[in-house]
Amino acid sequence: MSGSLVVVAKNSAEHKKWKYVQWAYLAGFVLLTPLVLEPFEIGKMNRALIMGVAILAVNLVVGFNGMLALGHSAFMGIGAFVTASMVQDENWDYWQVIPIVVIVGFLMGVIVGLPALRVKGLYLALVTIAQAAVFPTLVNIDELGIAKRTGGPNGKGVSEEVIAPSYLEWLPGVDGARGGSAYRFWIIVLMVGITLLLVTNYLRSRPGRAVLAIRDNEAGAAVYGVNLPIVKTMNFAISASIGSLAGLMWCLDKGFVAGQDFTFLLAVDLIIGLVLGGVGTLQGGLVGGLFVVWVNDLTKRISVPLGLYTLNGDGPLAKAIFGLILILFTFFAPGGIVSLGRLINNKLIHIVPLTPSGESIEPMSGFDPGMESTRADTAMKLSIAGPVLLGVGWLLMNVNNLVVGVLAFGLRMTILLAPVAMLVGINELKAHADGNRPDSVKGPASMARNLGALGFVFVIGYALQRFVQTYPIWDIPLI
Amino acid sequence: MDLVLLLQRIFDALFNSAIYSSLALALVIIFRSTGLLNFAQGEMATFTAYIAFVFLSGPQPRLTGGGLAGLVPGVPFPIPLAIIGAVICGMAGGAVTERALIRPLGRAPDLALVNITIGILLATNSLMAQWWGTGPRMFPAVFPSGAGQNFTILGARLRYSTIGVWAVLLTVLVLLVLLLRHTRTGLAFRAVSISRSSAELVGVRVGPTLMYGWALASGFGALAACLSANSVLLEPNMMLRVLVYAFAAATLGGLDSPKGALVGGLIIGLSQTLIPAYVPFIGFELSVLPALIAMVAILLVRPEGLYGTKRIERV
Repeated sequence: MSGSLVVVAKNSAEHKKWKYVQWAYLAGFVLLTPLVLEPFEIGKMNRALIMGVAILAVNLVVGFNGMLALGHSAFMGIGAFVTASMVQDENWDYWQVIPIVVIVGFLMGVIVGLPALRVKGLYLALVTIAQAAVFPTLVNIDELGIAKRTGGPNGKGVSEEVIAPSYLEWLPGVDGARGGSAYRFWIIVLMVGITLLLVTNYLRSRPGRAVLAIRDNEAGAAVYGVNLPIVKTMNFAISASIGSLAGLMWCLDKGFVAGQDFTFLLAVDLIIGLVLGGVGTLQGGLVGGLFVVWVNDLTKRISVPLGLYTLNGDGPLAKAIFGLILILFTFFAPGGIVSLGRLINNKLIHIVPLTPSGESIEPMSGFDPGMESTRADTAMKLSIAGPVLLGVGWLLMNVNNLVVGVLAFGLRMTILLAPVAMLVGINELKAHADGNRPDSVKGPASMARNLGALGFVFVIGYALQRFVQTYPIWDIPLI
Repeated sequence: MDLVLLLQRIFDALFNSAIYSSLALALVIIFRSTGLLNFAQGEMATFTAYIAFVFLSGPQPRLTGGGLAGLVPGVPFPIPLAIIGAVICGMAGGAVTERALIRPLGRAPDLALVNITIGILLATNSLMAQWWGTGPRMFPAVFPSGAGQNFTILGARLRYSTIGVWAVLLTVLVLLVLLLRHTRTGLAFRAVSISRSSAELVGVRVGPTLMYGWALASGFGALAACLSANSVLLEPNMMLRVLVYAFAAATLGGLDSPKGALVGGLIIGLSQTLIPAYVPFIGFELSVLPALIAMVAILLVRPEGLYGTKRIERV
């Protein structure tokens, strides 16, 4: 395949290796988050994951079922308030509330969905936006004891703190002062993982395929025997219950819930995350959540020193940037960040499916010598990118305090890229020694190995320094 | 029930109704021609209200944001001239938006169009906060609305401003109808809203026609914003709440019917004032609720709204 760096057969050893590398990256990212980041940054990460789950819920309706439902902030709010009320007023544990929240969310989804799904397209968008707009005022109703349960305009705080039990203190990052947010991070990661697994399986199941069929061709799906109202309503209700679950996680993370947190603006944030991440992709939600939260954070840091206004913590610049990004993405990358990622992925690796007898469907003759040296070249560039970014970030930080974020970004790039560059370099050198590579590979490959190793050593050193900072070993009494 | 009080409440509601109706009209014009809901309508309108504010306040950089007024010779303008200037700016802005952001998309899925308008909403909102600050501004009253400046009918006070707003709204509406019925552009506009592809086939230039549509709609929005800026205080989020009501009004009347927008605005405005007054369960805090419930209920019975055209799909 032209343009791809590497061509491998599906399910071959190389393909599996590639998959393991991807999983290792993910695991490394998750593992490093509570170890490297500051407590407030872990909090941001939690927030991003929660937004990710909520965006996944929106995606289930918008991306996978083709219905424009934009009011999931209300379902999040319902989940959050039910959780706050049960934990604070009834002294339940958070995990005991999960089934209640899921069931309540599901029922609310059915109640809203049954009438709402009768209308189509933009009309549905209107109805659901109305739902999002009215929710913050609904929690203030005095009747039926609603205001007592929700705390009315003052919001509701949960006094019970989420602290790791002693048998879970071995979790990375869960210790001492910043244990709280790290422990919540692990709970949220667990819940996100389970939710993703369930949603993946749901979409592969019979009702899931019916949902996709409705999106692709509603009339066609009906002709093939899909019960449109039931499948749509069930899908909407499942999405609502996932949204409520995100609300539960919100309450667990923040320990405080107010109607003003779940306004129309949150619904807009969810849509932005959906579009930026990728409509109709499973990963899109999480990517979008990360993006929304971190861009908000970054623009806030930039706007304050520049003397720009900040509204409730988010710079208005954040909103302008989001608006701009939203328009640009709609024009130039309708598939969101995930589609861009896939584009890059396709440049790196092309996976050729095999026939049952084991022959490749496309010719696998992509291994021309020129390609081999470009592989080493790319590895070298990968190894350089991280440190260069780091250096630039350091310079910028000294020149101007505004761009703190770039440093953090460079550090993260080094953490991710350096080991890989080192491994690729070593691998290529070994192949060269075996006589499988032309001599032109040698220079770039050894450079990749050396620079990668340097970055790797730096990362280890940094981690050690952080470790020592957090766990001052010389303070431990030896006797 | 106190009849005078009822009449008074109806009179009070009429002012808001006119504002909702005119913003709903803007939404309807765009929906008819382009088939999209302009979520940014309110923000675009607020922006033009700020422009009118700049025209009114003269060259005072602190007040008008970076001395924008310095670009305009002869400020401060008198109120009517300022509003007309703002409406013209709004129309130009609407036309540019259509040309630059909507037309290149072509026949995109609904979500893409919604995204574009939400993008405009966010960007405009933050730009306004940046230039003019988030604090509310005093916008002068267009029509006399002080104490005692009213007619008294059966003991209830009908303010001059309410009458003025309705007079403006109806005049503009008559102008709009004349434009649609008796000019070539109006004919082209009607042809495009009935069937875009057929209009294209018989030689109507669809692009410019849609641009006129956007310009008209933005003009309506600008008028609504300028007329209401005195009563709701000029600030960046001024029209967000109004937009929710206008959406409800447009949906209630049928998204593709100008008559529906007028009736819908009336119903929403009246229910917003009357229902909280007579239903103790719903306080004024919740005045948005009955409007939205009415909208959902009507959509359930008649998904196309009160006066909307029923859509029949060919499979």
